[in-house]
Amino acid sequence: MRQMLFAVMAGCLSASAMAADTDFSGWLQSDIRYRLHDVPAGAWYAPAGVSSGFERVETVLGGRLNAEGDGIIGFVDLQLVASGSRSNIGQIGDLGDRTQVDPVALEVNEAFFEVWDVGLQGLDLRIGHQLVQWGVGDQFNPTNNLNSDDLEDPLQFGKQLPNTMIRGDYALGPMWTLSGVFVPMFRPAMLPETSAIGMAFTDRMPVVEDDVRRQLQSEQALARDSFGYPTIVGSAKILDPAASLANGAGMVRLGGVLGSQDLALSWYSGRSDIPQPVGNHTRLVRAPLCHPDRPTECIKGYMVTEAELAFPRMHVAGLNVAGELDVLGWMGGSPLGWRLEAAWVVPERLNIAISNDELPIDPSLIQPAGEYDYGLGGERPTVIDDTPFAKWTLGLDYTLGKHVYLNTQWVHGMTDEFGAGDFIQPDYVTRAGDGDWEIRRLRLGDYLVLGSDIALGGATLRLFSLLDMTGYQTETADGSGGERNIVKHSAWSEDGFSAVLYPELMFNFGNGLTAGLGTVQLFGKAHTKFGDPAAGGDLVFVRGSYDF
Amino acid sequence: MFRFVLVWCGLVGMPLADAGTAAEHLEIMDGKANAPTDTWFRFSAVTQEPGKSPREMTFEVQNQGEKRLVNFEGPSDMKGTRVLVLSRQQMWVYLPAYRKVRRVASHVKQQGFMGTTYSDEDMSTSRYGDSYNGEVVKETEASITLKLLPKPDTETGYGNLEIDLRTDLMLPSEIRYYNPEGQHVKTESRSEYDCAQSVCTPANMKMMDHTRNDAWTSLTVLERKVNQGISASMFSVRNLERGR
Repeated sequence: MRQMLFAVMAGCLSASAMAADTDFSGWLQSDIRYRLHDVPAGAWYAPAGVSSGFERVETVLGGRLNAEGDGIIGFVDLQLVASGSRSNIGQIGDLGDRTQVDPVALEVNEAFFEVWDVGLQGLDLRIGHQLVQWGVGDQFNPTNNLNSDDLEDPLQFGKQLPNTMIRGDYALGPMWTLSGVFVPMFRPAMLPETSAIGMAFTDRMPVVEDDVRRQLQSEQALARDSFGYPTIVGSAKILDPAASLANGAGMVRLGGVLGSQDLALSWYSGRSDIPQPVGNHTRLVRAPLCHPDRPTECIKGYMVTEAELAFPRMHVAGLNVAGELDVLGWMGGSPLGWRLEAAWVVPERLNIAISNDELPIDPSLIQPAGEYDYGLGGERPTVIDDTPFAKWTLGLDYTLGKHVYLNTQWVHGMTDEFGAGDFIQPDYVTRAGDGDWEIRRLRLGDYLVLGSDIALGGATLRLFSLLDMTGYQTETADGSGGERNIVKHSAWSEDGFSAVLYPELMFNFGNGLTAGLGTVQLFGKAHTKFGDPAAGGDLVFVRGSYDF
Repeated sequence: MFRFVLVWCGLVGMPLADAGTAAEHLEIMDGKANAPTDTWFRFSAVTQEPGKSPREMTFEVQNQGEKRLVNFEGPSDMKGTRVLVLSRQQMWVYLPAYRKVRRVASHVKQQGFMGTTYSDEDMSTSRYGDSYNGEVVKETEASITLKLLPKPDTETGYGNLEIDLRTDLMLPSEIRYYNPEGQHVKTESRSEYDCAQSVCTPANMKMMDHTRNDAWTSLTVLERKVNQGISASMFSVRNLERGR
């Protein structure tokens, strides 16, 4: 694998020797992270958490080659990732396998060619594996949907996966550009390794219809508590869209400058890159098991559910505006930088099909095989409503003196949140629950992002925090049938607080050598956004890089 | 940091100093600065802060009128960064790590540009007469000292500037920058003028920041070209990310 990077680069280099100008740059990065605490999740019979210890030990060798000829550019950006913490040795035979003992991955960040003035002055065409990074928001870009999200590394939030695309840009004068992009094949988002922990939370029923969801939860609790058959997720199958023309994606964008403001309007048609559940099939597995420390606490087996996940279609109208606001002029201050990125999303309605094998839970209770009786007049329950919804980020930034840079953003709808349900048109998702209670939250959350860079002579202290302002609520049955008691938990309450604190001390030694030392601290209970075990727990890290 | 390249590149043979007013001196300066159709320079920059190792950069600058495009070639972690200036209020930066173009807000224009002692504002003024009113402070056979005060509608972090003009070239040998409180905060010197092809530009420049313990950035012209007929489309936001 190591030879591959250089072979590819050398190939490109020799090919580009005929070009007028070539340029190569490279980098070496090392990143070591340690998880400070165990992150428990799941019941004793199906533990799903992660342990403390080294979360990532990674070294990256990257190279970027740019070859420019007469009106044409070739661009290649590759990296080799040596992931010390990813070895998956199970058998003695694995020790003879270099890919198991010392795994290395080749990643193509970009590889494309771009032709300028194609038949028309100002018309450029870019074809190949590429990133199209639009959107004025800082890391939170709801209008930027061409590339899928690369959420594998939470410390690189906002990173995206490349995809093969055809992009055209036509300059309408010096300040305005009309762009169009076609993405032939859909690519799903990459998720953090710890996201699989989420499968342990079978109580997070995705069904919108209250009666169906509560009934499913009651039956799940009954099977577990009365008959000894708890529900676990056996697998989660991804239904990847076929590589057809109909499953391609496209986007058009008109961007430019209006006075002292940057403005862009866009339209995207494609799919959300975050999967949603659309199928659930349950079977009963007899496997008697008792708690190792509490021998009277036993189960008879499992209700094993196989989930199916799909990527809903969507259309997204986008608005991006960035500029300055002279609100501090009265006190002699410079204008504030501001940016608004807003997306109006029209989603495809998604239903879920719930079925089961015959479930002989008890001689007195045998659920026949077939599809669940939802009681919805023949309709399947809803997972994503087709009601349009809005996601946006509104950001401000300012500099205090020569040493402090401040940046704040209001984010309405995190990357993984999809569907109508916010303070404008309330609808909720279940974050925890059981037979007679649920903890729920608006489907689209609101988040306050606060960041600052403080210059400290030879170093920079970067402080980043993310606060979930949405709030949560506990809903319980009042016993009189139908009505629910609701207790609200504000963002500042014990049950509603959820936040991320991410400070890093960064050093720039000059000549391409940099280093950083920091920590990621997650706050909140397990049902909250950031206290969720699937978020991965608290980390400390040290990293360095050398660009050459 | 390339402002001075444009502002102070003057045509040899233009009328030299006369006993004119400050406004006339400024007009001559600005006229010389903007007379070439376009200019291109490659610079080597060294920034030295007390007690630290010197930091080096190389970059190229293209100018056309008050528009300019800067492309950083080194060090490696800055390579590929591009800056477009269309006016004092219109400035964008392309950040290769994020593959994004971002507008540069006014509030950062007093910050050191890319770690140098030159601020974004220092870079983005091409015609001093547009932003400042002047008065003659001192006049000798060899030099004229002008004091420049911001016009009422000018957004600037400086309270005033003092420029020492060489009377033989009508180009500055030194500029002193004062903050709104009257404190002398920066001094810029320019030397070794190259007047080939009828355009004069300083081969060496140095900006000392007195608020940072006299940290300085020195710039040396490695190459220069003038009047190449650069296309106006080069100075567009789209071009910042073209081929990147």
